[in-house]
Amino acid sequence: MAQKKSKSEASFEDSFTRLEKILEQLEGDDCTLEDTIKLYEEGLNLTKVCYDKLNNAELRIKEINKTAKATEVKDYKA
Amino acid sequence: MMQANLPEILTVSELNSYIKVLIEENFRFVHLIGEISNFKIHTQSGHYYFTIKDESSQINAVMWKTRNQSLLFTPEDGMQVVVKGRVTVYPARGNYQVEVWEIKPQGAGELQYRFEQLKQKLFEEGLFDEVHKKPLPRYPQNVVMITSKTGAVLQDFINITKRRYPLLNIYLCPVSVQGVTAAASVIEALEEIPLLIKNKKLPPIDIIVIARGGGSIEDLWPFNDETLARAVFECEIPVVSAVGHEVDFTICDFVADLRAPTPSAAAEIITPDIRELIENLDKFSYFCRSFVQAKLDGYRNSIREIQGSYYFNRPKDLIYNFYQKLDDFSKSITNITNNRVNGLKNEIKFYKKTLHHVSPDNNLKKGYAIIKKKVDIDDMRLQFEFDKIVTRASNLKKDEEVEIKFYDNKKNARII
Repeated sequence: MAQKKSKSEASFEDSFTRLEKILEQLEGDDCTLEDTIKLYEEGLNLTKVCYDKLNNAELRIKEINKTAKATEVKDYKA
Repeated sequence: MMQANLPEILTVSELNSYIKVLIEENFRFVHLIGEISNFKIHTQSGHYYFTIKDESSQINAVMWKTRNQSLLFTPEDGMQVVVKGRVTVYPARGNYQVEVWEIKPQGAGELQYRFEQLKQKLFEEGLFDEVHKKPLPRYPQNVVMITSKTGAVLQDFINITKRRYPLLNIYLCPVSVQGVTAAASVIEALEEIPLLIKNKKLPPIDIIVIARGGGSIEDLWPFNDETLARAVFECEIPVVSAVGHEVDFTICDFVADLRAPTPSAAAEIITPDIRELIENLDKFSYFCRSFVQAKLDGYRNSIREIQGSYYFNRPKDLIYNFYQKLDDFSKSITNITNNRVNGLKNEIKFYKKTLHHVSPDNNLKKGYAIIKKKVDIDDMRLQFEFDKIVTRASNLKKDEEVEIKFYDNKKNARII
């Protein structure tokens, strides 16, 4: 479950998948009012997290650099 | 001619030796076109034995192991070929045959043959089976790109992923993608990545992309390497093969978990589109709000319905019933009382009328008259007079003054 990790650490995949789960649960027939409110809050928080991630994302490129001595992962320069 | 120098009687060995020299001297180098048939590989020696034939004739052929090892494909019956070699004689059997040095397939190139054969072999081994294909994660985080550091492939890949899914971390693993070292360097990369992950030099990798731009079949040949194919097959991380143009297929494509038609297509296939994701989030938050709103409205309506329900309103109804009964009672009481009063009123009216009929006034109307006389009350020691009704004639004396009261007026009179 996504709850394992703290919110800031959860990957985008975890958050997004959790959102889809929430939607499914909300649509379920056996969702109580209390659950609905709880899911609603969690859902809105998650959308915010996802929005933040998407809006602030910046492609990171690293290069696996091999020398005679060792293999290192360093920032990529074109 | 040799005929002139021949002994009168020859042994078989002698004749075959003569023939061997004769033939081998004259056919030291031949190009022969025909169809391969009856092809056999000698299990112990590895030599190839076959015949080459055309419509009406055939000749035995042999290709020694030292030669056939350099062939890129394995000859098959029915294959149209041009072979290069020489004609030799095997004196022990009195046979002649073509000793083949090279075989060139006619029609499709030899690389194509090699390709088809390896493809068939690996297919039969099950390396391309759908059951082995690992699914790709929908939202990859870390991707290793095995490709050349130079060239458009990497830049295109970076540009597309930057646009589509900037959440991605790309780890470039630079390799040679052409020439004799290419296959080995890609294999080395595939083997090294799991070790780097184990040593924490790399994070867990979601997808490995093996990419190379377009080129001729010779250019792409390293990706038809059998060892490379097996390395891709063994790789536990999902591998996407993006080698060459859309029309180019390599063994690597077949064995990979997913084949992308081009490196740019690979970038599109493995990443979700950020615009769609944002759209989905928009939809989600809208849906979430409206859904919860609708749900709350539903609850409100239910409460209202319960409030309005029959059973919930029974106590109220009872009270209202009492009210109604009370109202009915008070109405009845008023009615009964009114009726009684009115009855009495009528009775009074009736009595009044009756009384009227018998009143003195009414009798006066009929012609009766009342006679009154003044009575001196001195007797009573009172100082005033008052009229007294005369009821008997004997009560009147002569000359006594009386008052006669008629209906309309009164008159004074004197008794005579």
